[in-house]
Amino acid sequence: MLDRDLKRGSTEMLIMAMVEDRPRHGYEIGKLIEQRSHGVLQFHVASLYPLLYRLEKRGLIKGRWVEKAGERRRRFYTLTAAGRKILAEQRRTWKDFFAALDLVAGINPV
Amino acid sequence: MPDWKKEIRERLAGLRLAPTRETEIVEELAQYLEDCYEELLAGGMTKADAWRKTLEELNECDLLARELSKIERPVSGEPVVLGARRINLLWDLVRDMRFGIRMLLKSKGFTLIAVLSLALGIGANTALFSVVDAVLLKTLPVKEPERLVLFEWQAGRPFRTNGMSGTSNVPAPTGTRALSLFRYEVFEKMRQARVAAPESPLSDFFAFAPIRELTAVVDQQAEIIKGQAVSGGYYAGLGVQPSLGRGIIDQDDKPGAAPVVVLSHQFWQERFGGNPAVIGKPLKLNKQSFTIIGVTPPAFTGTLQVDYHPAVTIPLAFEPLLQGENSNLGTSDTPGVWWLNLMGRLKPGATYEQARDSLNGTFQAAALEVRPPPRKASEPAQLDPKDNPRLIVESGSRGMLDIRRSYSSTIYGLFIVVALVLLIA
Repeated sequence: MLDRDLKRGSTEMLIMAMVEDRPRHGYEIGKLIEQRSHGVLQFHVASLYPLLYRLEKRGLIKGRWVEKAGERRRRFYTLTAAGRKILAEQRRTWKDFFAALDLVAGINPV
Repeated sequence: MPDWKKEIRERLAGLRLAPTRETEIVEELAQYLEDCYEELLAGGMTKADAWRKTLEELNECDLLARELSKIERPVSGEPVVLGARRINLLWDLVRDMRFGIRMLLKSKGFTLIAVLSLALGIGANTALFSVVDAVLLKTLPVKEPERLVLFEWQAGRPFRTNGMSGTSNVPAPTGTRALSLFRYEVFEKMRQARVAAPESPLSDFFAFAPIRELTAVVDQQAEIIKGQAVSGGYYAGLGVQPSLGRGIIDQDDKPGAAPVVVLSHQFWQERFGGNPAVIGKPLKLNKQSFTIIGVTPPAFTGTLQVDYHPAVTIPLAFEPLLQGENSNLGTSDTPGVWWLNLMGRLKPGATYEQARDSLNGTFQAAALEVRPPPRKASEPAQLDPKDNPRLIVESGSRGMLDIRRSYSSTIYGLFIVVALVLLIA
């Protein structure tokens, strides 16, 4: 049985994947998703930040203000250990989902 | 540079976020918009177009506010301004409680010990207060209990008595002894003296004493019960009106009268099922037949020691009928013993001292009269006047005090322990 909150889960997974390897700030996360999806997936203030705050509240990512010389301070997000676990689970779920879609409708994501 | 913070703050005003949290969110979103704006400028867009395009990001601000409202907790009170006067007491109380709970949760071990100590202290205090109320504070459920006086006496050690029966714990100075018990002959003389003196400060004067073991037979079933013997003026003096039938009166407390008995409410309920038809029925006590004449009210359990609740009450004159040769009244062969408790009711305005002085002379003469003969030749036939017995009058509002006195130090000791537990908590 696949996750009922696939849609919401997918955007959460995208954000978590963006901060998996290194800390990133909100604008960078939004831009990176847009670039990597070749403009198909776009985030705005209203859609990105509530997601970031929700993930932070659930302890899946952690935000931290960083000040660099000559720059205004920014808030960088990193993936927590709990977030890493959830991200791995979501990746598996999506793989299963695409495999099922492929079997039924011949949709191969690759 | 456009003021993004102002734009964002205006759009989030309805969320009523905590000030520090709102500042953080506004700063972060403003940073995002600034990045966006600069990128558009870098891409060759005019400032006006870049401004308009960036503001489009906020077009969906309804969505942003709605989503944030699901995540962020709004503050429900006014922010605290240093030096400002607080007028919302209820809100302050809630904040203080929340702060208190947060602090307590920070150190769970300490909180657990404090809560347990408080629970123990409060629980023990409540239980102890019930005992204090019953033993030390509660007055008799009778008419104007504050007018009741209790008679005791004190004498030098050389004054001897020929035996006593009952509980007596009256504190006395060194070299003296004090008792709360009287002999029947002494009571009788005091009673006659009071009756003979119309100006007496006492409107009533009566005696009562426990009969510790009685065999009662109800429906051919025998049971050992506690009883008491009272003089004829007992119920009238206390102002106790039986809930059923009548109490013992002077005419019942005379030789030759018919033996009668008054039941306690509890005994009547337990052994007679609360049947009102018991009045006039016989009750066997120590194989002697007594006629039931009344039942006392539920709250009235007698005037004896706090732990002694007699099931039946008989007239004093019938004590020998029940006790036979062991009668405390004495027989032709054996003198009576000191066993009666004496109580009186002050006339309105009369004092303890007046009550004592009105009967002290009669008491002293009667007590010396029943004094046993010297045991040894060295013992003087005449007592030194300083050793003569003299009356003491105390409040009778709580009934007999002897057991109460002996419990009081223990109870106060426990009170101190409980108070210490509460203090530690």
